[in-house]
Amino acid sequence: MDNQEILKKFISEDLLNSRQRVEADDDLLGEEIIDSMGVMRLVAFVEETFSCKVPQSDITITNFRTIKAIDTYLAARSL
Amino acid sequence: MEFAWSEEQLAFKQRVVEFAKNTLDSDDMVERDYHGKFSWENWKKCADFGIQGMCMPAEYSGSPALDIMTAVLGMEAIGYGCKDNGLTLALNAQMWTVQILLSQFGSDAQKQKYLPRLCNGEWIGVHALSEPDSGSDVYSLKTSAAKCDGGYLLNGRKKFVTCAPICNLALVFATIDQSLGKWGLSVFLVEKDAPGFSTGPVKEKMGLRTAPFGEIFFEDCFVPEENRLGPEGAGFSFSHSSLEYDRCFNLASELGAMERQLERTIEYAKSREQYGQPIGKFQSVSNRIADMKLRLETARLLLYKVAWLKERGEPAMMEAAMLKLHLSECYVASGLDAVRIHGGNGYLTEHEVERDFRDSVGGVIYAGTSDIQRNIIARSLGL
Repeated sequence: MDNQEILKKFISEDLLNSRQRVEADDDLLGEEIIDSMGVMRLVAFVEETFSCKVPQSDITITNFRTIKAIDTYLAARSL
Repeated sequence: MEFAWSEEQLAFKQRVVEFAKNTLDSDDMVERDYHGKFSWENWKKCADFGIQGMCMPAEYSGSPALDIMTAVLGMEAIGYGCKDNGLTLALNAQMWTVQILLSQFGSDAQKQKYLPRLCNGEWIGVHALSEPDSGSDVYSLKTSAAKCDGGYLLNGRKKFVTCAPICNLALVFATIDQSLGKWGLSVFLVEKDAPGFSTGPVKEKMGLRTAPFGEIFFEDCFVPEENRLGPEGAGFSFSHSSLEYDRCFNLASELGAMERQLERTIEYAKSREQYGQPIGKFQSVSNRIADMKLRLETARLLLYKVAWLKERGEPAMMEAAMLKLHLSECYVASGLDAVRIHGGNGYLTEHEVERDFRDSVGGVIYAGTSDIQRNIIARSLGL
């Protein structure tokens, strides 16, 4: 499973309790699909799953607005 | 599982207790509480001892930074040895909601400019987040930061700011784009002499009266670009980070105060006689003391667990919420028990028992009310 699929699965099933299926371009933050608590759980999931440390200053709307944005952020970190 | 502290850590705790008892204790505590008077003298003594700088890099504080576990022990010791709970609140507020953010996210120039003054007691830094219309719903705040040539213009009003009336520096949360909600928040370092910056009078309150609370007003207050802390939009993340530290360390001081309160209550129950025997022999009294001890020790376990998680760099959102909820509620319950056990003497201000009770109530409100903590715990459990 690629990064985007892993994130879609976690957000849809764990954060949203399977009430909603999210897509890669959905505005997770602007449309408040995920709330404050959900974001912090998402960050913890990203750190554990992709074995990376997300600095607090990186937790911005630019990096976490969509699943694609998170994927881009992770890709940039691995360069 | 290892519950023991090292000899060095225990020796440090003892040094802090002795410093607090011998240096910060004063006969005018009741009077200062009545008049809501902050002690600059004790603030500077704490800085000279190294309290404000205990977790800051040596280049800014003059001494090596302590690890988190030892620092928690130190703040617990201050709460135990110092009867001025307002002073410990002020210390914690600056150390864990201003200095720690500056240290972690500030530029070298920002750290060099502000951290030495905060560590040496010359300045007081405050955390300005809450507003008249954004308390528990804190991210709905309205204070705005509009981009202008060379920086930002801040407009708005902050409320419930610990030490606002006496501050030199404010760490201010403001929105650069209201439509982005919490993701539009940025953090700014604003000096009290900045044009358009002003503070209101001291607000009288139930407890913690020696830590002056107040408001801060911004009217086209210019803040240069170099005084933005971290990137634009990082305010939400920074506030989460500081809240975990604040909950951990401020509560450590409250735990110390609970231990002081318990020891004093036990002593009173042993020495006060009614019906021909010490009142501690009556189960209605001793049961209350047993409950106080249980609250103290269960709160202690939660506190050390959070400190241990933070030390390892692990998330502690739910654990910090459980700690905040449990310890602050225990402090209130034990404070009332202490007053009951001391009876009429406990009710009189001059005996300094009721003050701890009044001081404890703020803890179930500030830094996220008990009900907000319950929400965090429930959400962390997937509810």
